[in-house]
Amino acid sequence: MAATAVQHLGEQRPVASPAARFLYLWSQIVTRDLKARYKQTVLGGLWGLGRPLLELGVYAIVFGTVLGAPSDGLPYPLFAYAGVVVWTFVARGLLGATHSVSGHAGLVSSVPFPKATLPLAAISAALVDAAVAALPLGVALAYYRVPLTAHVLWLVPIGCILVLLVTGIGLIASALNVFYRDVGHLAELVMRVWLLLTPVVYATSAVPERYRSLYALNPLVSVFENVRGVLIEGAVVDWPSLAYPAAVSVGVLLVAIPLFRRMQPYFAESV
Amino acid sequence: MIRAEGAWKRFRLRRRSLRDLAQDLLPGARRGMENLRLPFWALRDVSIDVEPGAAHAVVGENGSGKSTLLKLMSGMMRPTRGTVTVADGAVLLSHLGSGFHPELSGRENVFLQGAILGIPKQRLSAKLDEIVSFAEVERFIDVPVKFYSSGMAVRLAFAIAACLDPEILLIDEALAVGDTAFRDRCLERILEFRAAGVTMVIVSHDRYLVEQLCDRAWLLHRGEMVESGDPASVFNAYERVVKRDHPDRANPTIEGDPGRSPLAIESVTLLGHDGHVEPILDVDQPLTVRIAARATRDVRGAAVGVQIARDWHVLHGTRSTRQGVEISAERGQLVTLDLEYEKLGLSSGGYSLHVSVLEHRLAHDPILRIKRAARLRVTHSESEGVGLVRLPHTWRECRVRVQPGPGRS
Repeated sequence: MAATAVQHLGEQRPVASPAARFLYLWSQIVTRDLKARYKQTVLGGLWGLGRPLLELGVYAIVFGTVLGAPSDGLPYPLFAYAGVVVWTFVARGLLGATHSVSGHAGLVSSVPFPKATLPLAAISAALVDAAVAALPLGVALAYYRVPLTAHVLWLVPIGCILVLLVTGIGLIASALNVFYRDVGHLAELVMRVWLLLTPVVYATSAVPERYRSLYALNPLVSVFENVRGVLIEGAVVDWPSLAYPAAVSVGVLLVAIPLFRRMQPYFAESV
Repeated sequence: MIRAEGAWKRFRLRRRSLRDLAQDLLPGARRGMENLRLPFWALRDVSIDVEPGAAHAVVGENGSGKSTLLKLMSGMMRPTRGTVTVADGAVLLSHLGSGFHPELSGRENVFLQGAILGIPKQRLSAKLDEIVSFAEVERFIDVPVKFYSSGMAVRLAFAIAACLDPEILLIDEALAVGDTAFRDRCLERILEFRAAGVTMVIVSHDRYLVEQLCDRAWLLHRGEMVESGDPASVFNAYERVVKRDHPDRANPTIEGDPGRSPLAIESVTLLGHDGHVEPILDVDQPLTVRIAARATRDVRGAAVGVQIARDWHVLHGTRSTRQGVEISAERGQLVTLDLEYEKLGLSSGGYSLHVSVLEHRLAHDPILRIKRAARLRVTHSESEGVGLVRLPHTWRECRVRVQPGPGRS
């Protein structure tokens, strides 16, 4: 009897590779995050559109009208909204990733599973958020009669650089936050300062010339400029300026992956 | 298979300080500061071998390192010293349902939890109906889990885990869930795993479960492996350890108001054939409980009760008035009662006797109760069966006479 039962189970035993398991888990957590976010809300998924639009309204009034932030001759709402969409991904992705492992304390301390799925899923959910937020951007582009050129396709490699950068920093922050929750508090502050040091709601031309090279140390500067360039201005992508953020992304990832791997076995006891 | 060799595990229990940060950032600083930490060794020098196809139990008090040992065995923690070899295909079940998202429906959570446990999607889809009916949540499968009762959530979590197809199953008290009927079905599923040749390690306080399910047990005490062997002997060792460490737990405790009691219990003596402080009895020996009580006032028709208990299970209880013995005495008079058990139908292990006083024959609750007024130990004579009681029984092989077919008698 027992022998047949073993055989029976043996036939059924699925050959799920670690990679397949990782992908399935990752997709499940992303769907969960997206589904759960707007549960018990009246507007539901509309919040995905509403939030960035409200943000844009605030920026348009404060920076565009009151402070008169430069937008390099582009219509300010269009200029700022492109920045807001990209920033939505960076901020949500990084903050989400930072708290992703520590926020699942019960799970991390009781079930063995590949922990890297947590920050990666948080970043993926932020990517979906940004994609939803980008829908009104299409409407705005049509409204301002901005012609779309083939240069828009450059958004893909630029996006890849940005995703790699956010992934690298997110992995490091999520692992460190397990051991020192100070990281989470610090991250909120850093994101606020980083927003002001990035051309999200104003153009780089607003930065005084002598600080320009210092300003460009922020790898997001050329990413944001290039996104606007290819999307709104129909410009050719400025590869030399993108080499810097690309190099930073790869460098951070090369630190992040071994660091996360080394720390992962200690999550369960410290989270 | 899983094997631990001289495994130690230390936890940092203090809150984080700048010193921790310095130690983490500067490897050089670690050496000098090691002794400043507040180390807590959850496991000390533990070596085990998990035999393929066998079922093992880890026994011990809370905080003795059982869960830590299971986490090391599952590979989700690493030993501070020593080595633990982990086999692929080991699945740890603990804190069932910790992966549930309260806002998502039961159905959505099945796939989420399944993914966390590593069950492929096709398998989950195929088994969804089975999971739902096993957990008895048919009506609520599309309701957010936050509206579930805690029992429903845990049932669903176990039902998902029951779809696993593990080679080694590590169970951390995951069986102590739900109502009795559900526990029985969980146990049934576990027995199916067992029959299918799944190697098991379970953490449990349930002596009966362990003796029924496991071939081998380990006793952990303050992080050390103090006993290993067959479950019955390990549980007996466990009882001894508890008694040694918490002598007051074994002491008599008085419930109720001795001042209002008509009788003051002066002594409870057990008369076995081995008249030590704690009589040791062979299984079939008789036992006499002698109770001496003094009347605190003029008493008419009072009763004395005796219960035999193991842990928190009362196995037998009786009152003197059930056999017509009512106690009447004048104030200050000493009354002696003998309660004779012809045969104690108990399996081996330690038992306590609770003695109570009731005001009259129909009293519902005792007015005075002395818990653990006396203790006794029953030794095993031969293997007669498992369980809390030992029922006299006989097996016979009967010759079956071949009956003619129906309708032709």
